[in-house]
Amino acid sequence: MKAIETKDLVKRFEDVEAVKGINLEIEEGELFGLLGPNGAGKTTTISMLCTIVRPTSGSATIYGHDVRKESDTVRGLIGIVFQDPSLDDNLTGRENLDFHGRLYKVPRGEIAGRINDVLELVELSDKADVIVKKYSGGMKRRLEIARGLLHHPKVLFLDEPTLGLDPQTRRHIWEYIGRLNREKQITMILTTHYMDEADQLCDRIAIVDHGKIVAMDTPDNLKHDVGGDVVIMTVPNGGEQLKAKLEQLEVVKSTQLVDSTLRLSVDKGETAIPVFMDVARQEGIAVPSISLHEPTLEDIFIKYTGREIRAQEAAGGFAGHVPGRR
Amino acid sequence: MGDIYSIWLREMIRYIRARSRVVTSLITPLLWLIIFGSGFSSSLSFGGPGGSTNYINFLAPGILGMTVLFTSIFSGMSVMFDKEFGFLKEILVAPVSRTSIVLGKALGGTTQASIQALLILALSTLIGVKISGPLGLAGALGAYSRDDVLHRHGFCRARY
Repeated sequence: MKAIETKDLVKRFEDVEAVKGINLEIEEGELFGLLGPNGAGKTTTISMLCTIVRPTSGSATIYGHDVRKESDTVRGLIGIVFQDPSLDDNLTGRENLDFHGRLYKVPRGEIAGRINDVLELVELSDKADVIVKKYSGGMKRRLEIARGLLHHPKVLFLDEPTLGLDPQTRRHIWEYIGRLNREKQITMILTTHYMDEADQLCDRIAIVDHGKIVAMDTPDNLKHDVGGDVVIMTVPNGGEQLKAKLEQLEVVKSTQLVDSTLRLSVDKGETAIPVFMDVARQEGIAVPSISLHEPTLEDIFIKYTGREIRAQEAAGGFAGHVPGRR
Repeated sequence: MGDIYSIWLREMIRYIRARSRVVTSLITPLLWLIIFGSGFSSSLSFGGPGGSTNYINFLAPGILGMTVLFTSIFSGMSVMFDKEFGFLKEILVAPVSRTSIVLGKALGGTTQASIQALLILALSTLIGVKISGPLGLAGALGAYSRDDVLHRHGFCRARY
């Protein structure tokens, strides 16, 4: 049985169609990523899966349970780590977790033990009895992750899990997420705009734009689709000429000239660069700088949507804007 | 059932923690009682089927009712605060029936208002208000609790 299945999922808000027919099949134990700019519909899609928003049409099931008809069952199966803070600042960390445990019917005898487990996992054991108001942003996020796991959900939704955290904490959280996914076989759905995060963690990624999935595959396959490495050359003069010459080379898969920046997709960037420079020298074209990078999801995104995914746009969260700061 | 208890428990923890708010919310009704009650009692006297009585005895039930009213309103407003600060999402997304949520909050507020009212009642006897007897007391408290739950229920409903 698939962990998550959606069929032609549509959501219309008055006259705006935010989600225009999404079809997903996510296997048990998968770490699945949703990538897309704000307004793409990924946050609405997730909200429908979490039973926060009701679909206009189409169906979605989690482990076979319909999100519309069996919403309580679904809620017991899923865990959510929201992007916007959703802790009670006037309770301690432990009390927040206890409240959650009660609501999710964690057996009374087990609650205390599990609370200690998850606190250890996110390294907050020593701060458990401090009022959450006094936590730092990173600590609050870690507590929310702990809370999402407390009731041992089968599916965990993470909305921008490492947004605004320092690199060390980010790495730790990646480690937890990866380890949990592997060890406990928890299916995870991740929303992110961090390319390295999606690349590092996800088994498969779906790129969402304007309410539809424009690409869905493993990160490696998607990068392969872009056509290998990307070489970027600055060519102040003679860009067209150089482009024409280089296009004739076998190793070059595609070229793109924008102003004085020439982008080429090649198979093996390291061996292609010396060849390109030779050609440029032969033609007498000056190339002041040249760089090489392996394809990132940014390149994939540009390829499929024609736009860059802008970091600032990725604020919003599941249930809409709630004023609150980390 | 357990859900209602969990929601209730949280309301009570928050109430007990906000000690300063509890104290300040008692001051206004007390001031009314003391200033208006004692101030007027010497100049006014009330007659009726039960015999004549002090103004302060007349005033105290009204003050109690006011205490219950305002505490209820504030408790209903807590739903709004939960929404503002995001905690409402956590409650809504849990496998808990909407009825349980409303009842839990309503009962939490009822408990808070009842505690406030009992405190005012106790303090008002110190000032000189007379209570006619245990039966009358029980009846009055019963009536207040009923009104209180209704107030709160109405407020919570409006918010959701």
